Amino acid sequence: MKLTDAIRLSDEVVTREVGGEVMLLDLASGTYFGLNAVGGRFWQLLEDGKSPAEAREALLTEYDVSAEVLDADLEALLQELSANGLVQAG
Amino acid sequence: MRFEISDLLGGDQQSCPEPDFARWRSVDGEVLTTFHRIPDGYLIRFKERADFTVSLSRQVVTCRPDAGVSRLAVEDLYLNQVLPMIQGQEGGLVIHASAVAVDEAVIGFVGPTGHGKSTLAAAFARAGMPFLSDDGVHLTPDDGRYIAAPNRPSFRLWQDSEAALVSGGAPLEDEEEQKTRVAASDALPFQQQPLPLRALYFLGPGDSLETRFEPLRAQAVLAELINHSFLLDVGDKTRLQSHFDALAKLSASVPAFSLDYPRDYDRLGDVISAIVEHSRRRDLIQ
Repeated sequence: MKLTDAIRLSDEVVTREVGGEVMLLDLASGTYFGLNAVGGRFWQLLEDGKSPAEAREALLTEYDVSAEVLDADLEALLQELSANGLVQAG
Repeated sequence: MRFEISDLLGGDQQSCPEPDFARWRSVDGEVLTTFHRIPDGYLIRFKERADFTVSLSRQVVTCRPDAGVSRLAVEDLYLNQVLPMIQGQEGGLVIHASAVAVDEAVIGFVGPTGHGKSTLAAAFARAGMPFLSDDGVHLTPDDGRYIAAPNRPSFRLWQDSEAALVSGGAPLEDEEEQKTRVAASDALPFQQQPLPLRALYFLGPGDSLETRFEPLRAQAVLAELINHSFLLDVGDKTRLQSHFDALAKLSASVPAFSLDYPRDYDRLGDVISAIVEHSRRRDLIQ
């Protein structure tokens, strides 16, 4: 899964912000996932209806991070979210 | 909730007609406990120890012990495992922790079995600070804080802890797993009234040579509490979500720290003093 792909978030995921970080609960599996600050913000942008590419652009303006590092981190995160069924292509 | 022990004592566990929907495993991967949905509720199977049939609608738990399992062991399973799960299923918030009262507030010690929760609570009690629980703490939100309720007025201690801490106290009965239940006494006072929760300490494995505290991020606290709280049916999505909400709020509002210390009975007094001093630090804990 790439940043340029269209994705859908699983309807089974519940999100809570605690102490400025984000925890995801997958109701389907009963599994929990912790996201760091950037990952949590990425997820919030996706929840707001942004595409991964749009979310990436927003993060580039919000954080002092190079595009290369951000792209690598977000693609790895997308892969992990996809592998755990939290996002799907489409 | 009414608790009954079946007359069918001494039997072996029969195959359950329903597949399990959840399992607890040991660190070695061995299945210790399985959870099954049955027509009127749930069957909780503690492997080679006992079956508990839970009817939430009738508010009855029936236990069928395996051969050779004592009544006290069955009651421990019920009070320390089954009942907290039922309370969690019914909307309560029960965490796997021991708890003691210091300065009219409660500090809790969270950790897996074998990390010293009971021993630490017993050491506090022996030092004059009453204990509320040695294994599970029921918390109730109350206007931005949490009230911790007293649990059982006894400890379940490893025999070496009992020997080191109780020194002459009369054990109720020897049990499996080399543990002994010791009742509260003048020497081991029990806190009978609920008190507000001041802080939670998450116990490390005992690798540290000194008593060490580290503040924990709320996200890390939530991750720990997920593993150390009780909920019967993790497949009940409505209940799972509200449980998650409750733990997230607790994580965000209660000061929490990792705590590790040398597991040396001769140094427990110093450990207690360090924890008390830490819990009084107003720069860390309001």
